[in-house]
Amino acid sequence: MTWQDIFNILILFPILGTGLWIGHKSNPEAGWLKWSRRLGVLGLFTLIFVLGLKIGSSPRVMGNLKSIGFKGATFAALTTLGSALGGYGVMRKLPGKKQP
Amino acid sequence: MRDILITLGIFICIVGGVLLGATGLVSVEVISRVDSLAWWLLELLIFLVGIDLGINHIWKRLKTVGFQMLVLPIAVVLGSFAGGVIATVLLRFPFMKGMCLTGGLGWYSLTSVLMDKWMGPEMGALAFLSNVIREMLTMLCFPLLHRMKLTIPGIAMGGATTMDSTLILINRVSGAEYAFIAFFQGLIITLIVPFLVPFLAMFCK
Repeated sequence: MTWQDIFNILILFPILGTGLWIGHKSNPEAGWLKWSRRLGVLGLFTLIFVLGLKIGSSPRVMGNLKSIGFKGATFAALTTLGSALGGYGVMRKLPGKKQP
Repeated sequence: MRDILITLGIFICIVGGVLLGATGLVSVEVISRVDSLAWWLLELLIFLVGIDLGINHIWKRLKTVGFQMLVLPIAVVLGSFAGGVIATVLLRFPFMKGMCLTGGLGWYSLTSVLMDKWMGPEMGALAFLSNVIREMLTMLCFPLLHRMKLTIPGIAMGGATTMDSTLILINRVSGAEYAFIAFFQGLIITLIVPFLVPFLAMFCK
């Protein structure tokens, strides 16, 4: 883990904190908030597209898809399912979130 | 309807990105630039999520929640490792290497680099793929799980990604209150992974 990785993680906290502060001080009815939400959706789609682009352009991943794809997918599916079941098991214990 | 459109949009973006990347039409230079731009974009989105959380005064919940909020990240880690053990047995995969893969908990950039460095490029690629698929599964399944009133299991799927990349989706689909839970889960797991993966890697031959 490099210092850059550590910095990349730590920088998210003041960024989120600044957003929280601005949001807290803002009028919930302000017109610019609608645009900020639209920008959020657009940014989300762009980020996902970039993620796909990185995967598709990586010869290491695309070239060995057949050999590592099955193992990777199996690990992903089972660990994700395990996490989801873990979340299901505790969802009624979370404060303020009582789902039926 | 909005959830379905978001899911459809995500699917189109992922497939479109992979196909464009695989054609080789985009040069390596452009991709490395896009990669660094993606981080700035992620920071912008985190900022916008912060505004959403702030408007809803969601931060005040910090005063009311305590150690109870740790229950979800712990359940996510334990559930993930249970799944990892099953995958290791089914694939007849080296046990500790399987645990290292599982220990990434969705943080593909960190895990793939560490595994590549310590165990070779194949393990690095496997770590990358398994964690990316986890993120994709979360992005694809979360809106549907939210509609089925299984929002918390949907959040749990994301692992470490719920602090950044999938947080935006969770916030858009389920609202600020769930986004707070997602961020907290992602935060705790993100703090665990950099210690967990190197620790598990110490036991790999």
